[in-house]
Amino acid sequence: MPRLPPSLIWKAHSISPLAATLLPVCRNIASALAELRWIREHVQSTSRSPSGSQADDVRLRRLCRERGKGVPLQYVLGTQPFGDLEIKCRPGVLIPRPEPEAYTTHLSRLLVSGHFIPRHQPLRVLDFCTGTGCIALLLYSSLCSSSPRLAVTGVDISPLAVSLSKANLKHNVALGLVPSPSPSQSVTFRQSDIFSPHWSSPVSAGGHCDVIISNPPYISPRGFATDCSRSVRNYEPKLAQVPRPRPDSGVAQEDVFYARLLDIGAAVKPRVMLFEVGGMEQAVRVVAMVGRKLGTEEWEVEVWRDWPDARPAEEEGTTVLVDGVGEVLVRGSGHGRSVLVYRM
Amino acid sequence: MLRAVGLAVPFQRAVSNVSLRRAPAAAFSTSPAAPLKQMPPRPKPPPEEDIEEYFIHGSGPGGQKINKTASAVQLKHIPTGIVVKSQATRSREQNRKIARELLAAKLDILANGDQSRTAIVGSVKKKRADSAAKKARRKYRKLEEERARTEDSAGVDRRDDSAAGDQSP
Repeated sequence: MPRLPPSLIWKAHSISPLAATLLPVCRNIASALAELRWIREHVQSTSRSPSGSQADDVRLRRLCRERGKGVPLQYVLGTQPFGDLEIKCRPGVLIPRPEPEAYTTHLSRLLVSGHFIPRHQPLRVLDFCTGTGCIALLLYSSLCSSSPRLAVTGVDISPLAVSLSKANLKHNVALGLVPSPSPSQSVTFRQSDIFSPHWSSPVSAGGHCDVIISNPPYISPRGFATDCSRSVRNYEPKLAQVPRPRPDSGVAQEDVFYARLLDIGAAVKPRVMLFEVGGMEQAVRVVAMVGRKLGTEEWEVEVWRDWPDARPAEEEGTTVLVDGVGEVLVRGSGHGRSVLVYRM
Repeated sequence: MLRAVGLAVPFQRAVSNVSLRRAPAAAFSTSPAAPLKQMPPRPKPPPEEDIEEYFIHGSGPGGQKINKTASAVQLKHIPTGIVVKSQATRSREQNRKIARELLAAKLDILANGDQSRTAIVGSVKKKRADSAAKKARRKYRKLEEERARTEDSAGVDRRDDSAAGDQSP
C-alpha cells in the first residue's frame, strides 16, 4: 500500500483531527469524512447521556481510533445495511457485502414474479454458509408476501454465526423489518458441517427443497495472501473465506464447497441453485462442474456479474464458452459473481 | 416504573394548573389561521428504462476479498445526460432511492424552471428567512433606541455597567 502524502494528512487534520485518524484506513478525505459522519451519527443515536456530553466525545474518539487501526467499520458500528434490513455484525462472522445484496435481491424478484416456480406454491429455501443470516433473512422478508407457505433454513458450521443469525432474526423482527415467523412462514438457523460423514440434509425427512443458495468460502490460500485487503485478512474470519483442503474431492482447494453443494443439489433436486464465486474464472470452473455432476439436459446454467440487473458495459461479454457445456449466458455488469443453476 | 409514575403525576398537575390560570386570556384567537400554502408535489423519478445506474465500489476483485464501506450510487439520465450521485448513507438501497429523488428534482428544475418544486420551496424558505431577519433587525434597532433613550435621560453611571459586565461569564 503506498504511503499517504503528509500534505494529505495535514489537509485532513485541518478539517478535523478525527478525519486524520481515519485517513490511514480510508485513504482519501471524502471517505474519511463520510465514515466520520456515520460514526458520529452512531454515537449520537446510541448515546445514553445528554447530547454533546463528554462521554460521547470520548466514545467518538475511541471508535475513530479503532477504525483508524483497520477494524472494519461494521464491527465498530455493530451493523451493516443489507437490502432493507439491518444486519448485526460481530467479530468472527464475515460481514455482508454489497454483491450478495445485489444477487439475493435479483433472485428474490425472479422468485416473486414466478419465473422459476409458480407463485403461491409452498417454497422451501436452504442457505448454506449463512454467516450473519443476511441472505436467508432477506429472502424470507421479500418472499413472505408472495409465498403463503415459506420455510427458509440457514446452515453454518460456526456456532458464532448461528447465534448471530438468530440474533439478527430477533433484531429485524423487533425493528419491524422482517415479518414475525409463524407456523406457515418460518426462518430457522442450525449449526451443521456439510462435509461431515454423518451429515443429513435438513429436508431429508420426506420433504422437498426448491431453492439452494450459498456464499461459501471460495478463496485459495494464495489468493487470501495476495488479493484480500489487509482489514479483511486481519479482522474477518478466514474460516468464511478459505476452505480447508480436501485432497479426495478431486478439485482445487478453493472449489471444494461447490463440489459438495452440487452433490447435495443432485440428491435433493431443487428447482434453483445460486452460488457466489470469486470471479469469472471460478464461475467457468463451477459451470463445468455442473456439466460433469448434473448434466445440462435437465439443468440450465447462467453466470451473473456483480450487478445482475445492470446494463453490461461495452467491453463486457454477454456469453462465455465453457468446455463440455457450450455457450453460457452472462448477465449484468461487473466481475463474474455467481452461478445460477435451474430447471424449468 | 413506580418512580416514573411518582414523577409524572406532580408534573401533570403543575402543567394543568398553569393552563387553567392562563386559559381565559389566550385560549381562543379571533383572527383566522393563516392558510397553509400547498407546495407542489415531489416530482416522480423518470422511468427506469431512461436511467443508467452505476455502483461505485472502486477497483479490485470485490466479493469476500474486500470490504468497502461506501456504496455510492451514480445515475445517468440517458435522454438529457444529467448525472447525479448519492453516497449519503451506508445502505445501497437507500442511496438508490436518494439518487432517484435527486434526479427527479434536477429534471423538474430543467422542465419547469421557476415553477419547479425546488425553486418554489426555495423561494418560500428564503421569504421566511428574510422576514425573520427583518424582524430581528427591527427588534434590535428598537432595543438600541430604547437603551440610548434611557442612557440619555438617566445619565447611567458607566462604571456600574462595566462591573456588571465583568461578573457575567
